[in-house]
Amino acid sequence: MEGNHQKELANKCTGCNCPGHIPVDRRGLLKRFVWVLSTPLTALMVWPLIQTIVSTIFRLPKAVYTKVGPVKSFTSGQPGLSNFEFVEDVAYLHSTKLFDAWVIKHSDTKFTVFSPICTHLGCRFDWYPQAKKFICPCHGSVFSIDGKVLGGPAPRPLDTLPWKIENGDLYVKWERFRVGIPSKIRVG
Amino acid sequence: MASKFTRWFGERWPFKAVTEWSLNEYIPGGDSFWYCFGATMIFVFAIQVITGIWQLFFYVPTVDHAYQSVTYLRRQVPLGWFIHGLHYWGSNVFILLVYIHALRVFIWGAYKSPRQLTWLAGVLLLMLVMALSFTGALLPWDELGYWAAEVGTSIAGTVPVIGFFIKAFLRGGAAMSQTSLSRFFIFHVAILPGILAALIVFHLVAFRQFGSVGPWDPKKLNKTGLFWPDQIFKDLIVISIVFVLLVGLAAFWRAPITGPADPLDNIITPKPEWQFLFLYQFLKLFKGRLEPVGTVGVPLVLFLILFFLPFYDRNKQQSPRRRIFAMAGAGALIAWFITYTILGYLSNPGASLTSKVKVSAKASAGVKAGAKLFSSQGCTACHTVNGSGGDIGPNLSNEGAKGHSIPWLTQQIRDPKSHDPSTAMPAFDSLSDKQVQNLVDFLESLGGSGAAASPEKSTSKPKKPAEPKTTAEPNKTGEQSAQKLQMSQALSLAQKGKKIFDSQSCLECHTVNGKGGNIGPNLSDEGTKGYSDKWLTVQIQNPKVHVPGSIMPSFSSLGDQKINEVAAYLQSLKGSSGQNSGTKDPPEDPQTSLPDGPNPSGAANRKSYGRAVYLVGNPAHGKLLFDKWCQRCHGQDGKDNIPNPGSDDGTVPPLNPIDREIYNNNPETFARNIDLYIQHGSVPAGPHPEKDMLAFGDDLLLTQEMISEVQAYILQLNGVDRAEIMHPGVKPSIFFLITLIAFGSAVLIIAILWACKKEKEEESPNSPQE
Repeated sequence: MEGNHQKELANKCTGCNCPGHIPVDRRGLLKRFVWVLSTPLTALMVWPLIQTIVSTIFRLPKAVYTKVGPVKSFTSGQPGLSNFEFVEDVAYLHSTKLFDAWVIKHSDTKFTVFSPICTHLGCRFDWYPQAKKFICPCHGSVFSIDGKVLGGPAPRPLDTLPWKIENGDLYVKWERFRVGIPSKIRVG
Repeated sequence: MASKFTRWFGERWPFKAVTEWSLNEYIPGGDSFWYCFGATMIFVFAIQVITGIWQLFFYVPTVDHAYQSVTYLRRQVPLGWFIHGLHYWGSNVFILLVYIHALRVFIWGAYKSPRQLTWLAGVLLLMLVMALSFTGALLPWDELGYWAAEVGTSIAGTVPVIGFFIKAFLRGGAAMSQTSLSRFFIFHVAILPGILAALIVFHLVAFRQFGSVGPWDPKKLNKTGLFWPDQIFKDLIVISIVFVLLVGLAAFWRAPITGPADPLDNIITPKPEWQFLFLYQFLKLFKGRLEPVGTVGVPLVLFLILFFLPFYDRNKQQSPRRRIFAMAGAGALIAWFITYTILGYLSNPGASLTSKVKVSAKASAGVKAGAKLFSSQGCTACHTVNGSGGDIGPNLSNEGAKGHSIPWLTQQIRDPKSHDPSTAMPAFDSLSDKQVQNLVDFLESLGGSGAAASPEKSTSKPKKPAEPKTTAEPNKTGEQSAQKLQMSQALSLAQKGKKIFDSQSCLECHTVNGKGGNIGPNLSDEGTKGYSDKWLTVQIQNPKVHVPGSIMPSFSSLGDQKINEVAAYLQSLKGSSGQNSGTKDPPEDPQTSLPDGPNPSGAANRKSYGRAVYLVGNPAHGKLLFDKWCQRCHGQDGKDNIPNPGSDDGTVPPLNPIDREIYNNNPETFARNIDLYIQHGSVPAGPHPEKDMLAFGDDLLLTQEMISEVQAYILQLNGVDRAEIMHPGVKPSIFFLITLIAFGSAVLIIAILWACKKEKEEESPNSPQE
């Protein structure tokens, strides 16, 4: 039988006169060669494939200060959602985008600026002036005017954004933070 | 000739062997309609691939152009609505068929040994189809898809340990952006379909290894059937029905137009499409720290239950009657799925500042005050009362009948954590005693009025919480509602003057807003030139007084009144409003300076259009924006005449119905006409108008996406569909009729052939059957 013949050959490590039969040890060796050659072929192809789609996803773009508006144009006390144009560099794209932020003016020299992104899961929340609270419609997170969590599932207070005043204008640095965790970690 | 070719080809390629293997299958128990769903799915998959590829002739996967490329295909390409509609409805039907097929296989016990591998491949195919529907939704870059992906990737982020990586990988970064679209695109058009196709082949081969499991009743096993032509004929019947259904859906139930994706949107509260509603609704039970259990645990458990079925169900019985436990389990799972899908569909996500609580006119002052506070304090964000509000906290529609005492309710409002330390409700400790008393009065008044305890479906009333209507709407192609615009108010002085100006052939010599001759000076910004009314009057009455050699004729025959009116009109021509919009416009701004249609009078007509005119907005969403931004000046539904003292008109112009000059039954033109007002604002004619219109575009008060939504709403108020199909190719209703006729004829021919065959059999009863 075929199987027994193979076993004989394996033990003898020599060829035989049977037509069409190749010595097992050479075949085995060739099989091993196939595996050895395939490995770098595959690895050298797979490694860049994975690297390209994984390595850029954690890149932090450089955050710059963007002008939001003249200090005088903000009214004190109540938070207001201010839209501002921001030149964004993402991958190969250089584009002007419209962003917004909650701006609270305490005085001509003191502001608080909140990111409009809820710290729970990234929805946009709104300010309820009579309740004097920020309320997020998605899952009911509630924040005070200082950004403190008053209720709901938000794990941390509202994220503040860096701001500065230059030549009578308010500038804000647009930054993005990871949602759903207690700590404020910048991701964009 | 043909047979020579087939012989030549057949010697060189084993197509005969392939077709024989494929078609010569004996079906134990005979062919059956129950076995049709697999083949139907292959058909629908083929439709998806073909219509998917066909859409790629037009679709561009960039955030700047994705939405426009899809709306272009749907509206401007003949029969583009058909290709897109088939693809949209095809995906829904595909998912439904997978469920039906899986259920059929389950009932027949066709997953049991030795057919486990077929079942395993099948479960993976189900997962792939769900993944395809999830990734495909983002591609149009519309509100529905964008927010579904935003939330969906966030949910993926809740997986313990690796969630952050999965989310960043899916998004290609931290935020939803171009990288996200690119990734979803390639998954949806290449990677997932490729794996799906391979897995389908694997599934079919595994199936053919042991063949159909056949009926569980041994008596029925006597009959055998052939795949070709018996089963295939039955398959084709089901396929035909499904195809006619798809054509009907594509023709009459437009895929939803939810408006362009607007990352700055804070009105929308996203809700998934029907196939994910059950997970969405069930997730609400897992609040706070239990959230990962809902987002990760539940889907995982469901997958494991399905995947390992052939291994934990070792009962060799095939008949459902002998598998009571299995049938009961499946029944429970299906019931749970359907229940949560319906609950999810009916639920009210979130609420907005504009949701108001209804209260009877007969209610006491305290109750009414309480109702107002209930809205303004933001209670509606979490609690539903009489169909309005969110469902994060309990529905309070019946609170008065719950037996909570006044001190209890007071305590609950002031310090909810004293009742339940783990509550998500914030403390309203800054309210005065009177305010709390009003709220309690209001709460006590609720209940016993028949209000449903469970969240009600959000209807499209103006006071509803913020859920734009994202379900598909009926197609309005070619059915323009003929709207007769009324001559609503008395025409202002300037408008009267314009009529005279236009009728007295002044435009033969003078240009106003791009129209007219250039023999005399351009008068488009005459109002900014500083001429007094008296000077203008004299100029019209007797031009030679100012310029002796003037060739302008005298119009003194008009009479003083009419000349005054013309002068007023000229004073209203302000031309450029002084704002330089060049620096603020986004780079994609087209800079087309003059509108094609009628020029809006009095507005900044030399300005350019915003990007909004190229975006087809969603009127339902536009209404929410309108209520927030426009209603206070233009009135509810754009109808009310809100006074504007100091303006010539006396009131803010109504938008419903809108000025005849601005209205146009071509949605593109109509949108452009109002775009100039919204982008650049407008100062009404008159000495000291109290109100003028803000420059929503120039001053960045609204995004271009939001403006497009408002435009769609205003058009809708005036009976024009912003998303109207401009070049249907063949009107949807006609196409469906043709489809019915085609299939009807086929059915007729089959019936005739069958009848003829029956006749022949009756004539010669000795001839063998079949």
